[in-house]
Amino acid sequence: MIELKYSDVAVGAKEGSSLSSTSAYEETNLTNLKNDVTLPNYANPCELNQMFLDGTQESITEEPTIAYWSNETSDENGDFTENPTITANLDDYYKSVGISLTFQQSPCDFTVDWYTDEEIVSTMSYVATTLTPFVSNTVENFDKIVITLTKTSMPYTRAKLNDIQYGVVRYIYDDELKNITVSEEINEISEEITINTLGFTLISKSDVDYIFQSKQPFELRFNDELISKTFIEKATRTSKNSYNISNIDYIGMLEKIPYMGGIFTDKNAYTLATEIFDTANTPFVMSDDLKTKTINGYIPITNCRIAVQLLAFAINAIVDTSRSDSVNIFTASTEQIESTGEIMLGQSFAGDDDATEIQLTVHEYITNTESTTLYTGTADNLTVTFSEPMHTLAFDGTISEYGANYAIITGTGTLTGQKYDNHEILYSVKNPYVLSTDKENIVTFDCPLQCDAQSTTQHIYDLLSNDQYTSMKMVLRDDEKCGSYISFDADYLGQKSGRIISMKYVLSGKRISADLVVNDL
Amino acid sequence: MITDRTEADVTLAKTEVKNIWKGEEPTQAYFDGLKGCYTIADINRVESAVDTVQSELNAMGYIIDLETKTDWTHQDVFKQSDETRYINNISVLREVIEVFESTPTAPDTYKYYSKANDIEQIIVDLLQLIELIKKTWYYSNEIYSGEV
Repeated sequence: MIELKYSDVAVGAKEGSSLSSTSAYEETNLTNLKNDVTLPNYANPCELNQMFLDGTQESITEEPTIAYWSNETSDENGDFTENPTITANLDDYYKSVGISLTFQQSPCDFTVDWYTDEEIVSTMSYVATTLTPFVSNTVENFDKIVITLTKTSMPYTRAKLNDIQYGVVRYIYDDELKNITVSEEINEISEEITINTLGFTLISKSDVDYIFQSKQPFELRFNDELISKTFIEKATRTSKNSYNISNIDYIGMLEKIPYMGGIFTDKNAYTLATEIFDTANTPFVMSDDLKTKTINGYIPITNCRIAVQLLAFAINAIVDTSRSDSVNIFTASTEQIESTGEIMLGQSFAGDDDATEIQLTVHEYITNTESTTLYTGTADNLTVTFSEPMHTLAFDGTISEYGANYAIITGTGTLTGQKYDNHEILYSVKNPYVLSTDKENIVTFDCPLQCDAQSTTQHIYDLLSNDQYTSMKMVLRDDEKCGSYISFDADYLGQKSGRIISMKYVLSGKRISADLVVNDL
Repeated sequence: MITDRTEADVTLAKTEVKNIWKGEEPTQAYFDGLKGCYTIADINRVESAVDTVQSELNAMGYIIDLETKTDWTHQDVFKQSDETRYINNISVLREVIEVFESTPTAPDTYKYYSKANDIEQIIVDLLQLIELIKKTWYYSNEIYSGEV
């Protein structure tokens, strides 16, 4: 079964909201309305019939983890003397198909007012009969929402709100989906980190219109297994109920986020990865063997995708998002899977010219005292970027923030900095068995970031000195995915083994039939 | 005291609560507190009974000093510290005098129907034992000996 979970929400609204409330219980923590966390199901026997004697509810700790609880308990009719309100001031204008709330224990009736520039542009009242009501109401350009909780569904209870979604989470199934194409790729040396994609056609049976917006997330599941988490890049409405959607994964999203770079000396690889991914507000997982690696070198001002690529290249890691809801950074597995997937007829075998030598140029950045002028004039919170890394910055005004590649300044005067000397070091691994008659094929790389350059050079050589590929169509049966090291029966070449570096398939039916490219090992 | 709550009471309570979500008017039984739920009616009843047992035992010469709160309202929040005190009171009382073989062990929670039953059964047994002890004083003429 195919299931597509679509968060049809105003992207960024939740994160960009400033929340306030009235009539709040003292332990209320509105930040929890912004975090996608599961809150404890607390039992308060003082509220009427809110604590079932089934042992499933938690005791209320002295400092409970809650989002919004009203301070007042409703009366015998569920009414409050003063209706509690939650106000969300947003950092921008947003558009959504409505609003979804999540109540704890029992629902409340409520009214939602949508504002634009302090004027109410839409109002909806809702009588809730579920803990997760969705108010369908498409509103454009709102920058504030006020939720007024007007009545609890049960007498003598508090209003308890756990979550606000500026839109709705929808589930779309096989009967509404056509042409679901999945493309997954890895690059074994992380010379680049590839973007996985998802494309599909939606033939909607829903009465509620879709307003596909850039960056909205989709989670694709096949037989309950997560295939991918992707984000809208392009949506085209082709008829009243038909939409063509093209999605990209987290890697594609990273490309849209700038990264200010820096000079790194004995920097822990995991710490650096955390800084990059935090910049992009993107979840990632790094395998334990990589977490302790140490990084030296330089990252220029770039985007987060390039920054992750430079890091992965330096630590001999692979980066991939397939079958995951985060970015995975890992060392290529040496554990071989004997693939039992059914291989279709028509394999092809090809390869690039084997490398006879790998040359890797790395850089050492050493401070010098040569001063240079970076900016002269008046600045008001101005970001000055540098064409090469700098240190020991000085400015007559105020430097509010700075790095090796930039400074944010306010005031009048001259901004100066001192340069780094860039020392290049060449590492090389040659094929010892090359004959004088063999065609020379020197492959060169330049990496401003390094961990163990000799090891990286060897790693690249091991992969490129035997650059042969098998392309085939396989009906997947096991855990085969990009990065898997598999053995398989080749048409007329007997048993072969290699790493899957590319998978493309159209999702339908009960099994996945994929076009694979395997890098022979 | 209530000592006969069952799983069926819990299931019924969940159904009744969902019916009220859907707009059904609450009955008087609902306002009195559903048997499958724990409510302030239960807490105040148990806390008052603990007070009574404590007073009786103090009068009999046992030195016990348990904190109780017998005026819980819907506006209150029953926190973990309250629960700890509430459960501990039962545990302490059960250890003061020899109890019946059938008396339940002191529960570690009130949040499961059988445990809630145990709390109140312990109190019922203690009150019964206190009465029996008092009667033995009369039967043995101890009451007239000046020692009681």
